[in-house]
Amino acid sequence: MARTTPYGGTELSKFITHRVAELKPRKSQAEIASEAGFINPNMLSMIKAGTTKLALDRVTDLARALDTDPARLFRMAMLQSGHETTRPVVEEVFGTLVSRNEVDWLKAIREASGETDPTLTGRARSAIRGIFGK
Amino acid sequence: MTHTPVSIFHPGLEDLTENERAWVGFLRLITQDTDPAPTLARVQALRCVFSDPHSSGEDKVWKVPD
Repeated sequence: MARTTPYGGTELSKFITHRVAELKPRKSQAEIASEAGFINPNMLSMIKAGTTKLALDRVTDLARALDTDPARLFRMAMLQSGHETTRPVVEEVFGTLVSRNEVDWLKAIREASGETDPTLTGRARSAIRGIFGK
Repeated sequence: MTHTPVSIFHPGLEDLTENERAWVGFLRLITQDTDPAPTLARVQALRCVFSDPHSSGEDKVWKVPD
């Protein structure tokens, strides 16, 4: 018998479940689905439950509706079943997928290092671990 | 509703170097891909990495100020 939730437990289904819950005080799941352009209002429930995957052409609209970074959502969508091998090809052709926050980190690294393209040294790893309490 | 499309690959940046990809990869690993923002305190802690290049920094305790 075929699995009814082939995308259940994926990073994307967990993220959307969490994000919809976070936004609940501001807007309903139905409003998010509508803003994202889903014709079927149950589509978000199906993505959360893992019965369907997020189509790549819905990523930017859903990211906007969820007030989240589209690059991050796109990476998670590619990691869902069927897209695992797509990511390296997409990144090879178009460049590395980075979120706006990651862009800001890279700008900070460039500025702090004087644009020297610093390597990720042990010192740098220690600093990042410390920054995030790891 | 109008929307200005922007690249989701490296918005506002030219393509990344190998070193920069390593930085991003390590940030994702340490933060469990939660995409944290570089707050002022975090950037100040980051600057310390480059402030004393003669120190290895391996034994330094890095901490974001409260």
